[in-house]
Amino acid sequence: MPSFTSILQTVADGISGGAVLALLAVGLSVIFRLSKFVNVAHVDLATVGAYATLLALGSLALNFSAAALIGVAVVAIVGYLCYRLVYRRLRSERSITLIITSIGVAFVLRYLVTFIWGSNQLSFDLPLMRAVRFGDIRISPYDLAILGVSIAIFAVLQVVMRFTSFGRSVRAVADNPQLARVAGLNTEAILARVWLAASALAGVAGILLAAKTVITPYLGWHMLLPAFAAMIFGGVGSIGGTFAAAMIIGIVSEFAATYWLPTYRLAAIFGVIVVVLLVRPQGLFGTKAVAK
Amino acid sequence: MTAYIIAIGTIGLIYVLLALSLNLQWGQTGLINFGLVAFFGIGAYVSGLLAVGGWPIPLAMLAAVLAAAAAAWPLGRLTLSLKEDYLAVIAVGFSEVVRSVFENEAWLTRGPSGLPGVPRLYGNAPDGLRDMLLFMTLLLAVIVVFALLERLIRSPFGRTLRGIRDNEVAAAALGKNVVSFKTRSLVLGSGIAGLAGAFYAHYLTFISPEQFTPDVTFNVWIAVIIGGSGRNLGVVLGTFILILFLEGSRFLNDLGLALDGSQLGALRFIVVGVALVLCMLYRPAGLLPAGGKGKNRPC
Repeated sequence: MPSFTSILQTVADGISGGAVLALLAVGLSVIFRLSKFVNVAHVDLATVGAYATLLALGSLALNFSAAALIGVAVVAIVGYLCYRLVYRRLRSERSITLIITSIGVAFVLRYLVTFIWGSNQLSFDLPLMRAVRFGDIRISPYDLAILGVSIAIFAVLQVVMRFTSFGRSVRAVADNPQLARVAGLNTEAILARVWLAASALAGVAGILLAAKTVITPYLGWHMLLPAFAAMIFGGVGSIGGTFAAAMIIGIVSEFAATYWLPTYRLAAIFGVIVVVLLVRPQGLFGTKAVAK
Repeated sequence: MTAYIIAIGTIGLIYVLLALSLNLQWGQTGLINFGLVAFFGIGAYVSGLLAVGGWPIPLAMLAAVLAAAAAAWPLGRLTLSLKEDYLAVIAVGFSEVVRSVFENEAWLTRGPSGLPGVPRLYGNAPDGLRDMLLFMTLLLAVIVVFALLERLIRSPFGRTLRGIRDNEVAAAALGKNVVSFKTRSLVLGSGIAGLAGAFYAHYLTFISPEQFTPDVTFNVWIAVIIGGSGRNLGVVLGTFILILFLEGSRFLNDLGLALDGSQLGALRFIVVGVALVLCMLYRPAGLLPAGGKGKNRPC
């Protein structure tokens, strides 16, 4: 029987993982809601973010935050270009065409990174910092920073979606693109901005994940199933739901890694997906219509 | 040289089986099975383990087909009543979970170092003859599967699958149980992938988890899409092109490109990715399209 402290520690580690996952899943979710397909390449944008930051750190000799900003900007541009040059041309196609295309895009991104940097593990070389103690559990300052960044971004997302006219337009396009266009909304501009923002968030997630662990070309790809799980568990298009679901999945996967086998993280997440689809396929805060 | 051609031919025919399997699922039914390698792997491991355990090879191979088909059923039940995207991502996840089971359940699978000593098909025959016999048997299996699939495609069942692929709502309105038809297509295709896995195990005599990564899945996908989804002959052509490409790219370095192994592998997949995107943008019906209404059909 694991001790209470060890359980608390696992929950704390899981929350940190969930905070990163949420940032990746929310973009996947919003794009699924608006463009009606699961953009498999979304997770590989996270990889691009990590490597772009690494490049900025190494060649421009910047401090970490400045390099990370450059990394996020690069990802936003790459993600937007993928949309502009590829997905937008296929917008009238069925979603199966778009999914296959996104696998192609994912390959190009992931293996371009492999081609340039090789497949060895790299890291940001961040200075080691003493863990902060809360009672018996220890949390690294980086994990606290990650949680802070994630909560702040989600707070901003919620405010923008709920209280600004841009947020209203996004919701309108999500609910009914034709009607939104008839009502005079520039759906094209709205979609472009959503793709830009979602890609930027994938970049943030990739950089944070790389800071927590190591950088490999598969950094983002390994997050595909977890991000998908967070998306459907939270309810497609629901920002708060995605955050809550990502936390739960982060904790579940940490428990699997600690008390079962590290390599069975994915199996545990797969289990979560099975349960969600059996019990509540529309997710915590989703509507049935999206899943079908 | 003959030995080399037979070796390439054997691997090529195994890929043809995988491509035919995917063509039933994707080409005929429109299912995005991104987890094809899971059923290939299950077939290989079931047949390999049973044969190592003393089962006669043909019986072990039959069990492999059934096991791969049976593994597909719950996956189909879970995802096929939802949007296509769900099967796509969940199947990739499934294939990764299956691979991690191969890696971790060492009591059953011998773990990450793999399962050596799988009995070879025609293991008693002399060296050269043995490979030839295996190749001929595999060729026969491919011809039989091909013929059966062609029959199936022309049957009312096949027409219903295409109906579902082209317009699911209409098929449902005509009283077809869409989920049931899709599930049967997934299960049948996975059985064929299991057969491919069984041949693979009894040809190589050694299987390990790292042979069953998603790379295999996407190689087959590119073969099917380039060849022209929906038409079995096109898919065979696509596989042929894929094998030429995979084999040919090995010799790239002879052309004076100084690339290390990892870069060469990466370059291969960049080409695969670009080919997928370009194909979807400009030639969604493939090189040998299945005829019919043209561009808007699901590739």
